[in-house]
Amino acid sequence: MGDTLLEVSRITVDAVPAAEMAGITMLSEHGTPTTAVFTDPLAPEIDAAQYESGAGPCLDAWRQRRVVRIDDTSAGAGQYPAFSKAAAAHGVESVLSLPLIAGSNGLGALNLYARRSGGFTTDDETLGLELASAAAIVLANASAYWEANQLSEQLNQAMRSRAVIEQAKGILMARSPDLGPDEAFEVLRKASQRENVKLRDIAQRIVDRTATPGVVEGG
Amino acid sequence: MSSDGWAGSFTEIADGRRRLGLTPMALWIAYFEVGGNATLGEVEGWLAGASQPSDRDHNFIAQALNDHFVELGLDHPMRYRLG
Repeated sequence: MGDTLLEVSRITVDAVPAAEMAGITMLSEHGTPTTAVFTDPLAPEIDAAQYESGAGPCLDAWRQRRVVRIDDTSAGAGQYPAFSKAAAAHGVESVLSLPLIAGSNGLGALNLYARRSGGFTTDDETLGLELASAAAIVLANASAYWEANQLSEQLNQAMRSRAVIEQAKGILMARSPDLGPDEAFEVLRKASQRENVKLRDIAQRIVDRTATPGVVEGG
Repeated sequence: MSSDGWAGSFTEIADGRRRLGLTPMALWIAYFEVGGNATLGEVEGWLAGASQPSDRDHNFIAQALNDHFVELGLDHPMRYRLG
């Protein structure tokens, strides 16, 4: 996903004449905004000021799902003082932040930076929004893929744990012919409750001890 | 602390799920992990009060939640039913 978004960012920089660098603001894995993709390492340095202060064009473009354009960072100091100061310190005089929207969801912002004031035009906004739409589609599908991937991993883990639990039940049933599957589960469940450990840990212990010659599990 | 033989409603279980912040899907996975065979839709029906689980399924759900509570240092607050 990162490679594709970086490619979209580069294409946007090439397509918008004044843009000299681009970055994409989105949620980090910790749930906080971050510049996850950038064409120049200066972009995340500038953006850091708005994440720290909680105010900036990228955040507003994202939250309010609208284009935010700053024609002169020194003039925009009143609205986003920390961001504007950081941008000016890095030689950036104008900024164009484009919302990344998929359906009704705001996913982040594609941000363009120029070293001269008044760098971006209305035409740039129109073109930038088209490219931002492409980036949003990539981002939305990557999120869906990631969620599906996570679910798959959780199911695999659950399946592995269940296999151990079923194996432990089988061991208990083999030892005590009077035990059925439900009674074997009760044995495990009561041991879990008695020792205050997870059921799968009780089951794993039974399986491990049975696999070790000479060790007898007490249940 | 849990006690065996409780035959109350599923409300306590639904409350336990909310306390843990588990989605119905996360609860279903945990339930499946300890031995449950009902579908996600059936579990959602139990949580909504549209149907009642068997004692066996109730205990699988209780165990699934208690395994999560163990991670938080709590000792099996979800009660079980006698079959």
